[in-house]
Amino acid sequence: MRGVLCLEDGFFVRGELLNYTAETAGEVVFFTGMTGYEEALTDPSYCGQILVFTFPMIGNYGLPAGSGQSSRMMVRGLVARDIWESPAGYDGVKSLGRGLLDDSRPAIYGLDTRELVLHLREHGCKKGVIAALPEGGLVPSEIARLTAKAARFDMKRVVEEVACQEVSVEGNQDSPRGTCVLLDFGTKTGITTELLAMGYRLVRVPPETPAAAVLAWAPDCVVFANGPGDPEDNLQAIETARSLIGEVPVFGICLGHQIIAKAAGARIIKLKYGHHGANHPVKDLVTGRAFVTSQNHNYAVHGPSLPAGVSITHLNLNDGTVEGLEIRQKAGGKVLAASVQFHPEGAPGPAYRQFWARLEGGYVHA
Amino acid sequence: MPKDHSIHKVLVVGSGPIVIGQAAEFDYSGTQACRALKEEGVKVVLLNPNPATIMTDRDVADRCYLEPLTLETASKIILKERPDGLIATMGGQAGLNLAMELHEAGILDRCSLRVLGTGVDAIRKGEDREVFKRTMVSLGQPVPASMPVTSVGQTAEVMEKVGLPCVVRPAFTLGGTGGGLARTLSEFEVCLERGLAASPVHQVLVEASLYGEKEIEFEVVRDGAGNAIAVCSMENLDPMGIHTGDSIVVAPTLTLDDRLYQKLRAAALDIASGLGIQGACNVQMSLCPKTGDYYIIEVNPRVSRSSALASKATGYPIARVAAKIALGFNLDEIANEVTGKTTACHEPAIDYVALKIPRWPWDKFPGGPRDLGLQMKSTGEVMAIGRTFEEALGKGISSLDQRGTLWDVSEGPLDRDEIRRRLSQPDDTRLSWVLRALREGFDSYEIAAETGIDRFFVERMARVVGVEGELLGLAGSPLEALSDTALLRRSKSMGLSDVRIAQLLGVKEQAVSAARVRAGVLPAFKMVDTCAGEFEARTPYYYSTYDGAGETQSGDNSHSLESRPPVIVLGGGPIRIGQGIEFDYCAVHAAWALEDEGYTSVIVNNNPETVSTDFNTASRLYFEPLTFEHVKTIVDTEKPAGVLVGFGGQTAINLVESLTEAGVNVLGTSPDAIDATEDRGRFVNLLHDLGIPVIPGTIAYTKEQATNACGIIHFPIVVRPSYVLGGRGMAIVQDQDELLAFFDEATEEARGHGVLVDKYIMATEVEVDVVSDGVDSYIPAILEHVERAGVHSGDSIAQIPPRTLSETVKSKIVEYTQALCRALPVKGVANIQYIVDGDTVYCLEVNPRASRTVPFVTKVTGFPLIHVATGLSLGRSLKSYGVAGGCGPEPHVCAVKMPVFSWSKMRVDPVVGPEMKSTGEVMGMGANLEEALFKAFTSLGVAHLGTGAGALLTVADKDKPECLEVARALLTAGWTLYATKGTARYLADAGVQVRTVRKLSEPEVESHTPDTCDIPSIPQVVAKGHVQVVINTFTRGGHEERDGFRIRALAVQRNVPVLTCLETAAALAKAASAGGEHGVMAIQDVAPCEA
Ligand SMILES: Nc1ncnc2c1ncn2[C@@H]1O[C@H](COP(=O)(O)OP(=O)(O)O)[C@@H](O)[C@H]1O
Ligand SMILES: Nc1ncnc2c1ncn2[C@@H]1O[C@H](COP(=O)(O)OP(=O)(O)O)[C@@H](O)[C@H]1O
Ligand SMILES: [Mg+2]
Ligand SMILES: [Mg+2]
Repeated sequence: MRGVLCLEDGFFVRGELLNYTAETAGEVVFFTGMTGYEEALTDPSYCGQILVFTFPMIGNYGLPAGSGQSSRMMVRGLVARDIWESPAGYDGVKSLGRGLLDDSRPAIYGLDTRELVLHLREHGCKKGVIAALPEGGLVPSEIARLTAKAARFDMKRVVEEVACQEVSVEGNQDSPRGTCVLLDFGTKTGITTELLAMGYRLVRVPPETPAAAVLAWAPDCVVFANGPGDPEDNLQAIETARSLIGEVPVFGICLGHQIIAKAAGARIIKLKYGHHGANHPVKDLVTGRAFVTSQNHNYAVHGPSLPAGVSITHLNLNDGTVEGLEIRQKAGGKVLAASVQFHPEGAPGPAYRQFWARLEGGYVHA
Repeated sequence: MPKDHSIHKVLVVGSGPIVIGQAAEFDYSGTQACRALKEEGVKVVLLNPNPATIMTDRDVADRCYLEPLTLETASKIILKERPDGLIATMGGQAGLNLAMELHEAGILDRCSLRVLGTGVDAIRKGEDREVFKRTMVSLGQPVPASMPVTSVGQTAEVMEKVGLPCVVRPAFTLGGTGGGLARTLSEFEVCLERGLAASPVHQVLVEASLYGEKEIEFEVVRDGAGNAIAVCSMENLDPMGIHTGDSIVVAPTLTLDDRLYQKLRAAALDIASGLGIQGACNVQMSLCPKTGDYYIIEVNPRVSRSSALASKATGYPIARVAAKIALGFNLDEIANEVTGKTTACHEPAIDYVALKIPRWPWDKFPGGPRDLGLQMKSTGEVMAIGRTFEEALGKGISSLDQRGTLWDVSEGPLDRDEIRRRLSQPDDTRLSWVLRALREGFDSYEIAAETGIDRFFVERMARVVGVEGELLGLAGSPLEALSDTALLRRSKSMGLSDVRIAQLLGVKEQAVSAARVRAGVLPAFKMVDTCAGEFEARTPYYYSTYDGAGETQSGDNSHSLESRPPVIVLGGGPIRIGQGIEFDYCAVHAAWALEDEGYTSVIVNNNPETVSTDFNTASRLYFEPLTFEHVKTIVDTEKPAGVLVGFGGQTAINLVESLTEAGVNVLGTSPDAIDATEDRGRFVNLLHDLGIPVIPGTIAYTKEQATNACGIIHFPIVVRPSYVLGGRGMAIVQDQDELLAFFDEATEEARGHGVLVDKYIMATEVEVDVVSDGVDSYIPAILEHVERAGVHSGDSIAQIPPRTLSETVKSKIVEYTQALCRALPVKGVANIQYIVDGDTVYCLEVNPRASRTVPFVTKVTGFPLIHVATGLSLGRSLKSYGVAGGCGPEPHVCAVKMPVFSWSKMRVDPVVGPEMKSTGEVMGMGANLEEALFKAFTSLGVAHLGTGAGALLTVADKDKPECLEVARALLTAGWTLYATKGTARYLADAGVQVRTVRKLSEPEVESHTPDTCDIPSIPQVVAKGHVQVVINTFTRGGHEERDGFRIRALAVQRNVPVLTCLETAAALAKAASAGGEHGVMAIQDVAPCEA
């Protein structure tokens, strides 16, 4: 079936639809990793988004068991140059098409994704709609309707869709490592796997959990993890973070990093088209070492707005945006919180062990 | 760490002559490295005896030594130049080996010469297969079970420790020479013997076989601070067991999921760090996708063929970055030239598929062993870029520039078992067999199982075959069918060329092109930008795809059409015998000259190994097949002032006709003049008109005509097809039987242009490269060949200045050359070959284009041949360069260009003749011919040349008198001579001291008399290293012929040069007579000749 992806600014591209049932709106972002569609599609941080793959051949190896970053596909829809339905290598692996069907996600393919990406790069991240090509053709009124529909799409409530609603406890109940409370905004499996592998008793709490409720678990550390959307939409979590810093070692990843920065008084900015990929170079300002990271965010911490006591530990080598922070009691004093904008668990993309090493101590060393 | 300011002068070692396994990629890397060093204000001293390279140009390095890559020469250069640092990792295996020798001889320490970038420790860990294994184990990296073996006696132990099947991999050889797979004990014994023989240290590693697993490569760059990135991953379509140099390779990997990919990437980075790489390295792995288990196969601690491919596939200049790292920079301190904003510390994201296909020499050696295995056999490769695997594959096939389209090599009925056999026994045609099997309805699982090619790729190819089927179904109703634009569009995005579509529909290519253009099915040009569009890029590096919108910027503000009109330079495509790196040299210089002349240079080429496909070389680069279809599309996009076809070898010349017909402006020598040189009839008439002697001969279209002709001109004769390069399909025939036999083969090649039957003139061959504006012409130098005519000009030693030509002959050559240039007329450059018999100068041929000798002549005379030729092609006059015309003065030095062969890889009989067989060349330069020859033979690998080496002589009866001269000269130079019985007796009778050796066909113990008992056999003297050269001339027929064949094969196996022409042997004697001590000379010290 022929379809169209129409953006809120009127830009549209035609393609073939796969598993299409109804018009689907979302924020259109592009992912530059050449592997890892299986992880990206299931990453809760992509909730509310229509994901464009810059790599043209998607689906080559299907959806390998155990690769999902959550129990289902999280994107609103998928856009690719070419989708392959007969996975390579292993027999019995689920095909991408089957996965889309199981989780009721539409895809549009057979279109020039590079042209679309260049448009997003030039004009910034846009909302869009995947729709079937109407009987009467793409007349101007139809484009206008789709454009308006795209513009109406609202990202506000995406965290609710993917965060846990109830407290749950996993892992070793009397762990010598101790207890880690995880504020869940839609956490990637990669992160919980790391924490559990370290031997933490992992207490997963909903995003609205106040500080007192967190402290009631007598945690050895608290992790603010990844999630979709605008950090400013998580007012309670920002409040929680503010109260926890100084009480217990606090760690942040991605959205969690932004929430901690916000709690410390920093401003948040929206990037033109975000960072979504597996090849972003980051420099550790403490060691001087540079390395390649996995990233997925549309917002970033505004460096100049950081108050005293909050220092930048990592910078993005491409655009100079803040990639890591530390909050200290006083200059040269004990570290109270540490966070990174990138994904130290990789998945997709390379992992960054040094961050987990800090967490392993349950304590944020200087 | 920023730049190390204690480094002022750096010695860079090049890779020497082009041989199979070590080709143009090192010119690309080396040139990039030299430039990167000079940018930082560092003086560059270069050592590389290969004159056909850009890196040995006068202005690339500050001091360029075209001298042998030996310890002795390098030491002299070091003492003379006193560099602070040495970069060993740009010159392939040759470069590494030399650096290790310098280190081991203590020269580095003594001269306080630091190895910059990756150091000797890391090199040793990467190169010594045993140390490598130990290092991997200590890093926790898996390696297959293995055992170093130094003698056949260890077989039992090997069987116990490693078992069967296993592979034998000789130590310190290039391109897997002498390696092999053994499934049975007897196969193992053969393999082991061959492997031990091939290894210079008589050592092999026997390793558990991983045949059939997936082969994966990573290109890693790491800096001195330990920051490391994986520039590119590559997946071999062909499984482990087929050398990666002979495999079809895609970048990036297409079938690895992210977890597996990250696992291998992390391993590659750990290995680079464990070895202490500071620069680039290549990590090869074997992977079982089902279990995710992998093994490390090898690490090349240097730039390589793969790093060149990775650079072209991603736009990331690996060699440049490695050179900066060598100077102390860290990755995040090096700018990414492509975006101008980001740094070298990032991993390219690409949004297309790049695919490499090897190019094998079997079109020239139909009888050669075409099987693919552990030993590399391809001479070159093409890369193609498409948005899908299918598109890249189709474009790759078009780029091969091979007869037919490779899609259809295997026509005619065949039973399924035969197809199955062809699938399981890989050779160069395997791709066609996969396609054929798909057409015959083979199941993808079966094909995958038989070939070891992942089912994923097979099914992708099945998609292509499916579309082909649809087209075939429409054959007969061609043009209506093409109005179905959806099918046409699909065919194009599956990579099917217009030629292939036309073939399927049974119509002409032009009809398809026209219908396609009418239907608006046109490709777009997209950019290679290292970042998948994430950042704005400035790379003018494009590929075509049948997908959406284009991004070319021709005619934009920076190159407004009026001020700098674009001109297209066609490159030479893949390197093959007869069309080598020399043509890349020419294309690159043409592009540079265009810029100087005020034009925008645009290069079209598809060879990933070359300087011409560096996106920095021309103003714009199109990485595209060199076919009419693709070139025409680029012309339509660029709207150039014209196209230069004279610098890309025969590939470019072959496009002249179709481009002209399509109304494209071909610059320089006119298409009509080109035709006049290539159409024998017209050419002979022209020679007659100009009063230039013509070799008696005729064109024959049938055997009868040929036979009749021989009645008039008498045997021996030379037969060959017209319109070919490198003497393909050419032979000297002695009698009627041979004539008829060769005639069949030749006509097929001749593509309807006829077969030339010429009198064979046994005399001196001469050639000139000439620049002309159609009125005046200038010949920088006359090249005289050492070997008689009949040995292909590309396989002969050429010398400047000429030695034996009289003044009369020289003035005839100049006069004829000028007359030809004016009559044709030549506008630009041409290469003219003559045979000089007494005072008669026959004109053999005119090549209306730059030739293989151009870089050599340019280097020796300092005359910028291509630069001037480009200007002349654009309409400038010779006078405007201040060049009067005539012949240049003889240079102040003597120089020779000597062919280099890759016999050990090709396993064909190492005999020179009218068909070209060499893969590369070296140059020797000195105060006199002897010195020049000495250096060239040393570069060729003849050891102890001036201090008494050993030679084995075994020549045909007719050659014995000539051989005597050679023997005497060698003896005087202190050589030890060995000869087989007949030759020995002849020499001994003439009073030459010689040791007799037993021929291979002679029994071990002939009698029990003491003097025959200790006659050593040929293998004995060769294996013991007594013999540095074998001199053997061809004997026809019987056991003599077989003996000769076996002696040559043995020499090849032991890496001993074989000279099959007595003039070459005489030159060797001359070189030997020059003694052992020679100075070194930088090209900058040779004054350019006054034009
Ligand atoms: N253990 C093995 N089993 C099967 N094939 C092997 C094995 N080791 C190497 N090969 C094959 O041999 C080729 C050449 O080996 P390699 O070590 O890479 O030598 P080279 O120095 O020539 O690159 C590889 O590309 C691979 O296909
Ligand atoms: N009539 C001839 N007599 C002797 N040698 C010849 C003759 N014709 C060709 N040759 C030899 O064959 C070689 C190749 O022939 P040529 O015409 O130059 O073909 P190519 O196009 O391959 O350069 C020459 O270099 C020369 O040595
Ligand atoms: Mg290798
Ligand atoms: Mg010739």
